[in-house]
Amino acid sequence: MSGHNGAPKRKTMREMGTALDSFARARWMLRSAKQGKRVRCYGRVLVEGGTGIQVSTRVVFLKGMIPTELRCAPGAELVIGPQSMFNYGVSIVADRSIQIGARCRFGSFVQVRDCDERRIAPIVIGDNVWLAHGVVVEPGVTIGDGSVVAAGAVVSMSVPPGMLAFGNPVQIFPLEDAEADLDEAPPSNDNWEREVEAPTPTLRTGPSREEVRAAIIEWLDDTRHFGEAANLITDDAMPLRDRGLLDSLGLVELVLMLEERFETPIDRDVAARPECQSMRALVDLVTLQSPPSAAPP
Amino acid sequence: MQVQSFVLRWLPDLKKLLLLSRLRPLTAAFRVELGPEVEIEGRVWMPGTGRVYLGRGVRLRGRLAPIELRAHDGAEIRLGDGVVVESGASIEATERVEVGARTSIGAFAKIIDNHYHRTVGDRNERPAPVPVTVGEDAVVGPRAILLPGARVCARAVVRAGQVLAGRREAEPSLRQQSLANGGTH
Repeated sequence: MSGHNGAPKRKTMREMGTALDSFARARWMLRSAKQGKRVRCYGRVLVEGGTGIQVSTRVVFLKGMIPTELRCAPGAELVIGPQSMFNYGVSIVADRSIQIGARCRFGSFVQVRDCDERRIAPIVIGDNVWLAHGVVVEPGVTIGDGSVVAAGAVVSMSVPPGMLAFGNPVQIFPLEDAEADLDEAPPSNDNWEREVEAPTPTLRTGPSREEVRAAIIEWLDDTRHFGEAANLITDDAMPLRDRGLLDSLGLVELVLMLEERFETPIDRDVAARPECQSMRALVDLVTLQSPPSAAPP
Repeated sequence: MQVQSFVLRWLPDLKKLLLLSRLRPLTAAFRVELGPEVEIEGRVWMPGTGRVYLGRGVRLRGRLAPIELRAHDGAEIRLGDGVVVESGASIEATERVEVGARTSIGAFAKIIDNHYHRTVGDRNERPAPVPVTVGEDAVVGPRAILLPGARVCARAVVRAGQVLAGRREAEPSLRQQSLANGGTH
């Protein structure tokens, strides 16, 4: 056990005492399940259908406001790998098969269940996976070794090894990219209370707004306006079809060019809407892959 | 008569002391600094050895599920005047979490100022904390999650289930209007 300053902390008598009774509590709480050596329970764990549950060595269940729940239907299996740690309020329900690897970290209120109203499909969670607070894992999902699922995510598709998954619906990025983004120094913005911006997604690896804007202007220059496009577009919110900047066929060509160049699918129906034909809306379509929420004023 | 009124006047405070002390015998009452008119309903769970400040008229409504206020060693949780915390909400500080006056924190919301594990490298190591600040008159919706470094502006609304990562700022919304129309928090 070490604090964030790195100094190893010595165990007090009291902590040694709770460590001892955590072993005893684990024996009692998980009495109907198969358990390995040195399993620890600091709080309550509710176990139902323990014959299919296998808890490996040195698994830890932490104490909290709400008990942890392990449920296993008759004939189903629930395997928890060695040295995994569970915060409080975790709910794991197995109707067929849930396999959890070694050294996993489960945050509080994580829900893993391999059945819902439509399907029953086994769940496999690899080694050294970290599921943060409030994550929901849906049936049939496989999470690769070393992956991280960020707080509040709903994992509806499989996550390859070494990835960061977040959001609902889930988005997946390589962990290295995400780490680089998180390590950036926070901007020194002292009057943040007054300055309010719309939230921008921070973990995207796609093209930046400037790149997309430059690409659109370059294309307009090349095909229509021969170097005048930057001067003609005075306002990013102005529809491109105004003042003869672009006709409807030109718009389709432009969308095709953007799709090809930035390798993102663009919904034709959305792009055909009049409020989506301004420069800003097109940039939004490419960078955020979402239609602008409201027509620009 | 005098004795009776004395008891009546001090009864709520005795109850507070009892409620707090039941959670961690004796020590909790010393770690917590209570403003006047603090209301505690149901259960509040305060593990950890850090300090907790509850401003004037703070309401902790832990009837449905316990509220967790966990201040680790040397850390500080500060709830401003008139903050309302709903049941199941959890605030964990390893350095500092500050909630502005009259803000309400919804049921099963989570506020943490530390990820507790590194995303890359040794997962047993705890990264440095980044303090979390929630402005005045804000609303943190039910099941919202404020991650380390989250800063919520005054009068902003964090929607239900929304996750605020580092240095993200919630947008202000129609809340000002609803306050002007005589809405409650």
